[in-house]
Amino acid sequence: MASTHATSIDSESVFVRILRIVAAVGGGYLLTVAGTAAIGAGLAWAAVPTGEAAAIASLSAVPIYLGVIIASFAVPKPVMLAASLVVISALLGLAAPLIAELA
Amino acid sequence: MTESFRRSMHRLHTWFGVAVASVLFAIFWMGTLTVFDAEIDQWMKPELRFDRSGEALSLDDLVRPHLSKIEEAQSVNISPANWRKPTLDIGYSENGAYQQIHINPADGSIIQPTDTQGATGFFFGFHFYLHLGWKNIGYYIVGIASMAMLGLTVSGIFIHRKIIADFFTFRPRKALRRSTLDLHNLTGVVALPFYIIMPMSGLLIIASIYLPWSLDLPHAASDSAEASGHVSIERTGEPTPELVSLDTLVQQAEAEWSARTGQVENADFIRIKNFQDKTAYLEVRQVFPSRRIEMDRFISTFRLSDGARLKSFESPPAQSTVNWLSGFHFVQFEHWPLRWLYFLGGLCGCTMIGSGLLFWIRARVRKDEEATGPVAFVRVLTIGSTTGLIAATTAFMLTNRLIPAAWSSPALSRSDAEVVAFLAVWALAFVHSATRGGRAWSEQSLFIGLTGLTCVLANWLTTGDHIVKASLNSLWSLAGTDAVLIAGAVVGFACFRELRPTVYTEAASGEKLSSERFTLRTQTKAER
Repeated sequence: MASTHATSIDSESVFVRILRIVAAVGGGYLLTVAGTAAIGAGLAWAAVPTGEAAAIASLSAVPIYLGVIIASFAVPKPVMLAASLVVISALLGLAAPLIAELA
Repeated sequence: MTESFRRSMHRLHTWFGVAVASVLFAIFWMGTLTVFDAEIDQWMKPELRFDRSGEALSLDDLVRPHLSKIEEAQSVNISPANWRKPTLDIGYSENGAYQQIHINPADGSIIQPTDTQGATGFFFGFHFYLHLGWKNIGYYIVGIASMAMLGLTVSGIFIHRKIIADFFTFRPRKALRRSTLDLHNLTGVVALPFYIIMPMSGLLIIASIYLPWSLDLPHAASDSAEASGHVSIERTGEPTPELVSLDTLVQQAEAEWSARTGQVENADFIRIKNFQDKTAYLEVRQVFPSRRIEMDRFISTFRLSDGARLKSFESPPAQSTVNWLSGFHFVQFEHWPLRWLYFLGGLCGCTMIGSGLLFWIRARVRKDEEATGPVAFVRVLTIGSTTGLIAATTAFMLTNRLIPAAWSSPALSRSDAEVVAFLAVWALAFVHSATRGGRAWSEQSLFIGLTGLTCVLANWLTTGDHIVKASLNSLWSLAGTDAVLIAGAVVGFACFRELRPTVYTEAASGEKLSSERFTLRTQTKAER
């Protein structure tokens, strides 16, 4: 199984590699925003002071993002392709106001 | 660890590296220069090279005469002189423009420095947002590159089987591809913790821009300001009564902080808020302590009409952690050896990124072939963003010395002219690398060597200060900048010598150099 995966990675096209980078950067960002927001909200719910909650949330951002970057390059191609589709859709949704402003 | 995971990390390392290395080099290079930004500022603004041995006047004596001359401002920032910055600076926004007054703390005289952005204005901003302020796009590019740097560092650890051996392995006499990889591994391992903590702390410093929804939205804006120790009071529109002594309030704050820590604490940033209003108040902060890494630990706020204390803030544990990491990144504490280590760590990072890109190119170009297609494109990017950026930096500094201090033009200010010179040389470096191929490495190295030396000469001729005189007069910031420029020029000439186009190359390894055994070649040594 391991060797099959390695072979599939070796034979990946430039397009698939770009998708992996998109999934890593974009997906990492979205999951980090969601993760830190959840942590911040959870801490606020637990009556942790605002500044401390924000500080803990920001401290947790880097490990979350880094984890997603590494995972996006380690998961098999079909999983990554599905994830990158979701990521691209979400990023387009987020960028829509900016695109509208530019237009 | 499975082999497939190692290969995945190899892919991550390769493709992320190629995608962001050029930006990363710019961030690292400018960050490295920013370690000595105040010192480079003194090199670029000769008016700041004055005798600092005199006793400083009181804050009231230095600041009050200027406060009465300010027509309209919401707040006034006061930044006292410190061990690296010779002047006391007063800053405020008036009619939409930020004004600054620089004062000699020994006699209160106003100093008009040369019109230049200098290192604090140009290199520093370039380091964290590339001077691309529109929609914060520069911050996001730097953020993505920083995150990629962390991914590259972690994946680099995974793909190396013998990380300890790499630390002791450098074979400069081997084939260039081999020695380039050795150099990449060596510089990657030697400052490994630095490469992890710097991007991580950099991301934390600007987290509020990267993660606005998660850090700001759940809490009201006033809560956020309150949590970070600031006080917010509405202006009344009524005129200011007589203000109490600034010195007294600052000394009160310092005495309170010193009592808490058991050591001498000094304020380094003072802000008058609601300026010229009845509700005016004073915020006294210790943003960058000289003897502690953790920044922004204390903030004391006083009402300026009667000196009453409004708030006394000390950062709580989680915020202190963020402040420690931020302080580690900003490196404003008083520690010269550590400051030089940061500088060397930055240079190691630049070498690691540059050698990584060079190895990527060499791994895809056969010995007797010219780079084409995407590899040629990456080579243009690599040369332009490494030697090209360094060349642009020396051109920026040289322009600073060549344009007369009194120069002015309705179309272009003096400081803008320096930036134009920087951008022009950088753009030309890309064009040059696209047209000259591999030879651009050596030619741009030669340019760096020549402009580096010319900078030192131009500084001598225009100000009369040379490295020996500066050393004898204990102007270490000036002597250090000159010394680094000379060292950079020597490295530039050495690179030119090593990388210059070789007309003849050895036909067979092991043979002695003789004209009969050479074949005509036009590629550089770097490309072999």
